[in-house]
Amino acid sequence: MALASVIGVGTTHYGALQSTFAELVIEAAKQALDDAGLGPDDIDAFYLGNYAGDSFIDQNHLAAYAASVIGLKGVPSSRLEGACASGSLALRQGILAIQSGMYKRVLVVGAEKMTSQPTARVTEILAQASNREWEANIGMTFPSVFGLIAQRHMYRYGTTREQIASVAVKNHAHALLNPHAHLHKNITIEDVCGCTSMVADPLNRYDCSLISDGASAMVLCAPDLAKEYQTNVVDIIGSGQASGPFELFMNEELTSFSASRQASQEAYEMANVQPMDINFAEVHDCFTMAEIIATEDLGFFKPGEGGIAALEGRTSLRGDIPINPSGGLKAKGHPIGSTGVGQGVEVVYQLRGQAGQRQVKESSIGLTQNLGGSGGTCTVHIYKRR
Amino acid sequence: MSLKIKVHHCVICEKNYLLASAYCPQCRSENSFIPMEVEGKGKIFSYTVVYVSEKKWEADTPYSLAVIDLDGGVRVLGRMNGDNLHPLQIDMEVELTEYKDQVPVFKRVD
Ligand SMILES: [Zn+2]
Repeated sequence: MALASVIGVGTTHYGALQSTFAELVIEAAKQALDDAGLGPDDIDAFYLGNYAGDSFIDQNHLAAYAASVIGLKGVPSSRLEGACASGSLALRQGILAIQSGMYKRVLVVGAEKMTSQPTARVTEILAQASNREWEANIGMTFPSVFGLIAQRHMYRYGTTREQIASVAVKNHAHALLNPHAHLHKNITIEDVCGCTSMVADPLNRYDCSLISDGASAMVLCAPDLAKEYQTNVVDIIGSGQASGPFELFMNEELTSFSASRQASQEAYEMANVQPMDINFAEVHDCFTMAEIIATEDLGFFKPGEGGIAALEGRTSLRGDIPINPSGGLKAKGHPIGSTGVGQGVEVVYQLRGQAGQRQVKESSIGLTQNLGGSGGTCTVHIYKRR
Repeated sequence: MSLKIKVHHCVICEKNYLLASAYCPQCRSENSFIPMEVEGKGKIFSYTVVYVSEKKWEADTPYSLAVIDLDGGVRVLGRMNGDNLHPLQIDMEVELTEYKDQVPVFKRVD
């Protein structure tokens, strides 16, 4: 049964853009409203996903600000923050709003303007999503979180550098086919493994997602109304959210996130589907290693077999379960608060058959997984073509 | 000789935690923690070498970080002494030898 229906989607390009935060929000929101054939006065509630506008652009009270620049009038507006999962928290709030019966048509926007700050400052702002006292102040950075995870995964399961590298190669290849992507650059396994620009051993520059600007938007409505606005309806049939240990080191095993397992379990049960029913997925590959454990936590592959599957090509566009056909956070880009909404927008494009050259084969069910911090927050959503 | 580390000890389930919470993560008891100290000795659970850091640690790069399981049943994050950048291994025995700018620094036990 549908929880809510997607009747409009929109997204800006992701990248180092000239546009201001306000311009990004307007572009994505306007596209989604046009796609749904709605105007600003048709929207009953607005949810914004944003991680750190206060630090990135020195602006707070951002939901009311975004609503104002869009031109929404009197619409209740709220901002959701859950580190890199901020966007999908806003989306989930939209779904809950529809489910409550209080609102019929809801606008969800995820947006982040990151390149307004120098890279060193961005690193500090991102580190705010970890425990300042017990992690960041000891010298932990987010790349090092996934460096620690990678070393443990390699030790425990024999995962290889080539397997991890194959995720970057695949996602770069997918992004080449995505006009919205930040990076359009073909790379090889040799490029990744031979890269001397180390970030956090064993991960190097090629294993890391990018610092991007961008915004994505969705218009949701009550499932019984969807046909009035959109001929190409995609329903959201499962939504899961869970919290895990806040600090990385509090995870019993570093090779799996409990929040990811719990959120996916909830979403699968709600949608009444199994991992094997999912045709393709957009998952949280902030680092190459993150995609490997995501595909294991989501049940696509057994623990320890995610790297093998990636190297075998099973997760590429023509594989049996394409992962990140958009190019993922790795190559499409990762404007923090936008990512969770952008993943959903990509799934909708794919299910509608509007994904152009990166179109996956005939599909009816797609999934998104969005992770915040070192697994402190995770959401999973399941979409189905009507 | 290793330094000691302050932990929170649950008097009900006897488990030790680095960070306190209002309810015990394991047995769910309320206000069951008392302060305790454990020996800063244990084994590396995982490690990495950081080449790109926050600005304030730039002068230290590259430095190594390790998740360490202390013998006292607590897991901590610490830095490894600069002499051991690359030969680090999971399960290597280490001990806490100093705090540098409040950062716990561990050293391989020879
Ligand atoms: Zn207890």
